[in-house]
Amino acid sequence: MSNLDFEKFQKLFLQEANEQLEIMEKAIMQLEEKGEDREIIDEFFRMAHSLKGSAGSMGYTAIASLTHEMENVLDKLRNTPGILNDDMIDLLFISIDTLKHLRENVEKDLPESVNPEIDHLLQRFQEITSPDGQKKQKAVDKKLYLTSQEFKNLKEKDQEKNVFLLCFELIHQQEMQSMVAFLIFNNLKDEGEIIKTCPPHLEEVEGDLPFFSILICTEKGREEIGKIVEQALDQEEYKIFPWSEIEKGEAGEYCQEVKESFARRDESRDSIRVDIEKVDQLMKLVGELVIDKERLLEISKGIKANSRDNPEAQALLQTIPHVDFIATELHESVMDIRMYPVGSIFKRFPRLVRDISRQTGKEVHLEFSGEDTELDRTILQEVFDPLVHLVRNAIDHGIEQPDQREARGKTARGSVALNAWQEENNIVIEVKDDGAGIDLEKIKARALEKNLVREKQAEEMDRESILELIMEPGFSTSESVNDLSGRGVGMDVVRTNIENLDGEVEITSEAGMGTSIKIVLPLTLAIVQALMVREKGNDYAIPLSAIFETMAVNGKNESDLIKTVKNREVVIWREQVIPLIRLSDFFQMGTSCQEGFLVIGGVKGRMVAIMVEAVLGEQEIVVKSLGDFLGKDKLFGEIPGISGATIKGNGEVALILDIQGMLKSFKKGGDTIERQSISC
Amino acid sequence: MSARVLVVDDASFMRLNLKNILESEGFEIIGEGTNGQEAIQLYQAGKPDVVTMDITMPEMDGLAAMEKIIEMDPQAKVVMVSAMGQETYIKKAILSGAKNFIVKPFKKEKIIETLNKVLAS
Repeated sequence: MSNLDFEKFQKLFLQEANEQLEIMEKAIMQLEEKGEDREIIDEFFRMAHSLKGSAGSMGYTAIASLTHEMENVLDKLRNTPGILNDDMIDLLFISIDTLKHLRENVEKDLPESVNPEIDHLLQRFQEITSPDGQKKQKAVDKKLYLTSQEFKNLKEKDQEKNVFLLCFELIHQQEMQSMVAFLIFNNLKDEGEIIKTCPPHLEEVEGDLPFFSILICTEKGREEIGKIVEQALDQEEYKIFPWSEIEKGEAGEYCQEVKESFARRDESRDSIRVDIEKVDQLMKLVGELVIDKERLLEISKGIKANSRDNPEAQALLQTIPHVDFIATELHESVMDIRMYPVGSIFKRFPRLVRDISRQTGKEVHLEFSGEDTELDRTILQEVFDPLVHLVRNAIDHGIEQPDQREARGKTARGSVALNAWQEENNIVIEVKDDGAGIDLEKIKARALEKNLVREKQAEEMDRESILELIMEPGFSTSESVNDLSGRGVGMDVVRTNIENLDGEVEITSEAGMGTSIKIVLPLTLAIVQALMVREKGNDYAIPLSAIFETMAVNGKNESDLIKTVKNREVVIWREQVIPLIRLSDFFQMGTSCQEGFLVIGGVKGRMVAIMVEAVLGEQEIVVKSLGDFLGKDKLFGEIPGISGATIKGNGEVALILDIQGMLKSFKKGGDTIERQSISC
Repeated sequence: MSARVLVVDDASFMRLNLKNILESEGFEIIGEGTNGQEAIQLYQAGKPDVVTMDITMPEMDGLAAMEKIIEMDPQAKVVMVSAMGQETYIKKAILSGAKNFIVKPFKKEKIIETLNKVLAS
């Protein structure tokens, strides 16, 4: 295999191993829950088998031998019903963990060393599988796996030269067996081309090596090769198979052809795997294209007015709308590629929940809904760790011990639910438990103790604000620090991570009934529909997802629309009283206009009316960050009311308004609005 | 014709041990070196059929000595004698042309068998 091929196969192997391990893990959990079930065991067996095959052909010996032993145990389970016990389940779980670890090593290009831990596992398996539990010699996978392509190539090679498979079983030498292998490898190396060895990288193996094999292509004959081997070994310590015998399958114990397509075929889905980096690159390019498209639309406006008689200009004008259409479609298609069902991360939770509930002695039932809800893949990856934290918290702090639950009239088994759904332009992922709920008084007390709030403040706080305290840095109500959670780095990290994704964390909780924590995330970060508005000569973009209505304000209706309540201007909109923010006031750009437009917007039920001079229209905008210095966690910090910038059709920069941020800063400032001077 | 052996080891016990074993099997010991330098001189003077070479020795170690010997005589047959755990040295020795190796402590049969294999090649 050339390097390039190897890399390609390795990638494929890694992806598939992931899937196979997931299925295997799920199977163990089902076995634990349902007991012996032929179908589950069969599925499990198939996965272990195909993983063994691909690991073998890639030369990952440890994975191959571990899966080999798993296969044996599963086979035994099939043939002798009633032997499944907790030990076996545990052993299988540990093996899956070890396999995951080994797979990671492969991914990180670390040597897949056969360590004592694996030896120990192998031995435990053998104790189960060997008839009277007696300990066998360490099981070694003696097979050298060849892909069909390699098989074909070797056949061709054998036409001109000789291909031999040499299999060594060290009987006399007990010490430094790997050095004997090294010596033989080194001697044979000078006699021809060594195609493959078992174990792979034979020359790097150290320690015990009672068996190894070398596949060589050489101009020398069988006897000559034999002589070279016998410089180091006795005749009875090795076997030599010429290609003809390998082809006839006479070396079946030592050599096996494997089909290259170790991909698990799923006939119902016609799909290909693509590197996420390529998709990201595509997304970036589409982003640039959208900017250019908007620019073209802008230019076409100018052409329209000036060149009615120019046929070329007319042709251009006809083409531009098409480009517009294509660019939008393209954008949507690429977005679609990046979307990934939330279920893909949900399915990693059953195991986690099982382990935590075992550790804590709590009984927990895990439920899912909305697994098909799709989210941008990049966001999804970032969400996993926070979710793990929330689920740990739910079990560790939320769900009560079974006897406590029964005393409270609940079922002994607690429930944790992972729910997902789409809410307009947001995706919501909820972790909900039916545990003890969050004790507001305890939180207040804790916050006071930790000096997070002052006493007077604490008394005035509403429910929501108290709950939000648990996300303050340095807050932790866990009475004891344990393995699971309660190290005090919890919820604030969750909040920070989610906010970095432009998302939010919402907590609701009822004492005795349970807690719900919602992660609200934007559907995507890259391109959004926005309303362009103008104030004092500067253009601003407001994401359409946050806008309900726009209204013109003029001398006639001003007094009907805008009222003053407690020294604050408000707007009466659909029988609601909502605060008015004049953009000029907010950014301290001078006197606000008296006539213009009201943009009614809101986030999460909190409404605001923004007064601007002019509304320019809708546009697709590509969200860009404010650079290296402005924004959250950056040198000059966050700018209230601004979430980013975009490039307009004419190439100029427009700032993107952040309605939520405006509301926050408006609320914080009380009567005197906290303002920041900003202009483009 | 009995094979002529040069024994190199800094421990006199080891040299004696090897000498006894080899002579009892009809090998002729043409010299005993206690370090790498001596090994080279003795090899040049005696042209043995095979050398047993300890690895860790004062002044010049077995590896360097073997390399020098092979440089002088590419056909030289050197068997390394090493303690357990010296895999790295053995690997280097094999790469530099050692014909085989023996692990200390060794059995009489193992020594004889190894030397015979090397001599036959």
